[in-house]
Amino acid sequence: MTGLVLLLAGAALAQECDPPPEALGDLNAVISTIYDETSGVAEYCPEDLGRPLDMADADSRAAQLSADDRAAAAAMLVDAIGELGGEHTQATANAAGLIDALLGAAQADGDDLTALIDALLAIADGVEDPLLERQIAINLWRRGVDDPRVAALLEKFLPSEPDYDSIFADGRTDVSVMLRTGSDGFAYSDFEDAFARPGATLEKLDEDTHWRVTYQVAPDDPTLPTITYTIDIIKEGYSDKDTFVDMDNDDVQVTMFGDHSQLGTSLDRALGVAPDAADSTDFFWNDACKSKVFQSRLSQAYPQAHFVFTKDSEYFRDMPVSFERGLVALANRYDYDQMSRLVAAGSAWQSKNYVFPNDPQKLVFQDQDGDGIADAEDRIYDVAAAVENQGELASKAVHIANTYVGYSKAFVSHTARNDHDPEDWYRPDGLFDGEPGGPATHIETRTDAFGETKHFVAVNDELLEVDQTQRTALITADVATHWSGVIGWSERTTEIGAFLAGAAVYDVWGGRGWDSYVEQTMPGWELDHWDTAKFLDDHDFVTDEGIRKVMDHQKAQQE
Amino acid sequence: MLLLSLTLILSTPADSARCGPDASARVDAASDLIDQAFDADPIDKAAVLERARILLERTLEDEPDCRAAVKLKAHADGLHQDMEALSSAAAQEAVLVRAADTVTVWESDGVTDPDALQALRFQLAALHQLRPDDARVTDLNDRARALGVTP
Repeated sequence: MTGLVLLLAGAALAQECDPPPEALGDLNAVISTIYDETSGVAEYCPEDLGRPLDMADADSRAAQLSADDRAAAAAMLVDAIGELGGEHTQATANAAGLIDALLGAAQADGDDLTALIDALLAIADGVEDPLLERQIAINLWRRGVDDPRVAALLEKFLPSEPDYDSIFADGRTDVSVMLRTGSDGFAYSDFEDAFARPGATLEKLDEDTHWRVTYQVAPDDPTLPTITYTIDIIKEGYSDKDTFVDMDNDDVQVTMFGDHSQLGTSLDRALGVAPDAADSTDFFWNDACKSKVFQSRLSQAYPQAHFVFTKDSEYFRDMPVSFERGLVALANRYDYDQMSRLVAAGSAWQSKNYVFPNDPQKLVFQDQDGDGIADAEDRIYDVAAAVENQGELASKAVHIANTYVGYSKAFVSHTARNDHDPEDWYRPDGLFDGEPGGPATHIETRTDAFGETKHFVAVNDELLEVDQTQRTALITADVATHWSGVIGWSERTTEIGAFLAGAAVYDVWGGRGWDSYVEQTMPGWELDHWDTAKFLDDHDFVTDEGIRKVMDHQKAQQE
Repeated sequence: MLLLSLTLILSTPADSARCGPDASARVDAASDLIDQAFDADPIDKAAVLERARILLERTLEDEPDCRAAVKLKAHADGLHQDMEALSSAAAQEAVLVRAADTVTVWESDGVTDPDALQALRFQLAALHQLRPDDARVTDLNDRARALGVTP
């Protein structure tokens, strides 16, 4: 190829299509020229500028261009979108996505990346929509680009340290901490020991509901001031809604939460009335068991906030110790790597349980544009999805399925790789155009953004129309079925195990659609979900014994 | 005493001469922390030592030629593995002792709380993975399994 030529650009490909809006004329010309110069599976029309780019197709086309053409294309794309406003965000996102594809091809060929990185940074610098800026930044992270300008951009989305200018604003040394927990967290977490050991004082303002700790931390670094924390430990019930009220409260600098996750629903009420504080950079330590299940919603509600969350259980033992160490880390102005090291030092078992805001692993659990694809894998910003936010319902359900399989001994104990994170094998992979009553998921195994083999779960878009319990139960059953295949269960055991896995979701949440769930997973089963729960263990988990009991039950019915 | 001697040997006037006042103060603070790590309860040793290591790393970021910090950092790094193991074992032991007390009370009272029992069983399962040959963990697991949930 001798170079991209913009003569009569787009005419050949666009002749069957409606003409683009005038504002998109230049962009249409550039993209249609690129597509005209390359072959791929997607036919291009200007109206495609209003839909998310097919990135696999873009990758294929980018690989066909020469290094010079890729650089020229990127420059032309930047020029073409230079004057576009917020009404054409998807078109701008597509241009950025195309440059990401060009960058990937250039990397693969070992070309100089400067022009392409410059182009992406120029777009990021000019966009109005923070989600598009974030998308460009995350795409650059995925490429592993070593460039100080990229590092500076990523600092906004993968911050290396807490917002100390906010926490210690104007030289503040008296810091207010709000720690909310439930009745079990209050009863079984040993806050008294955790804070008494380093010399804090604890006052029980109310024996059963409200304790106050005064904790003075003299930083190890003698150049830093002593910090005095006032920590209010509040017992909340499930009906309480105050978990996030301090996100827009300047009088509280640090917030912590630790309680049961209830398969990702224990914060629903609080999220429903959470204050609008999209710019909040608050430090929020979410120490519920497997609190990753909240992360997609929390990061949407507070995209700039600094959430620390767990991948696995915290057993109540970790929570107070981790909180105390987190406060020491803050007083010492640690960055997140250092905070992570202190929290993990000499711990009983959970050395890698916490995900800090600088950890790209958090992107596995976030779905900022709500298209159902984990941000770690999502290369294109879907503007319409971000408005509807339906896909997040699916991605949340996949993470809950992950969590459930990871909890259940029947699945864990038969797992060849029986490590601490058996549930993190499944990744949200968007929605597919399915039929009502059709397969709940399509599961595909491939390498993830971190180079690990994972199972990617695309969800039938018809499931967005059903009750949350039914949707999550069906996805959980599918994930359990797939996992049973991985660990080599028989067909019969797989069917029962998967059915029980979804039934457990009903037992935890209640909800509608049980009959439909049964019809799709265990036709002929006649018990309601409360009776079915008797085949789960005390904590709603699938066990070998439970599966055997179902077999016995069915055998008895047949006789 | 031995530790104090080591610290004195580690930090000579020539080393300190290459350190600015802030670095010198930080090295002194890190040295104190290392002493504290030795004196601390086993469960706290690793965390205290980690604070010293982080402080020394930050010192070296600002003043990479501060030899006292370099030498003390090497000393602290050398202690890391042993103290990590000591603290981790102590933390596991604390979980085990607390779990044993809880199980004993529940066995005696004939009453268990479902959520607390769930948390306890998870704890013990995790502990069993880490200490598969510890007969006390195995025994406690068996006893916890035998506990029924009382509504």
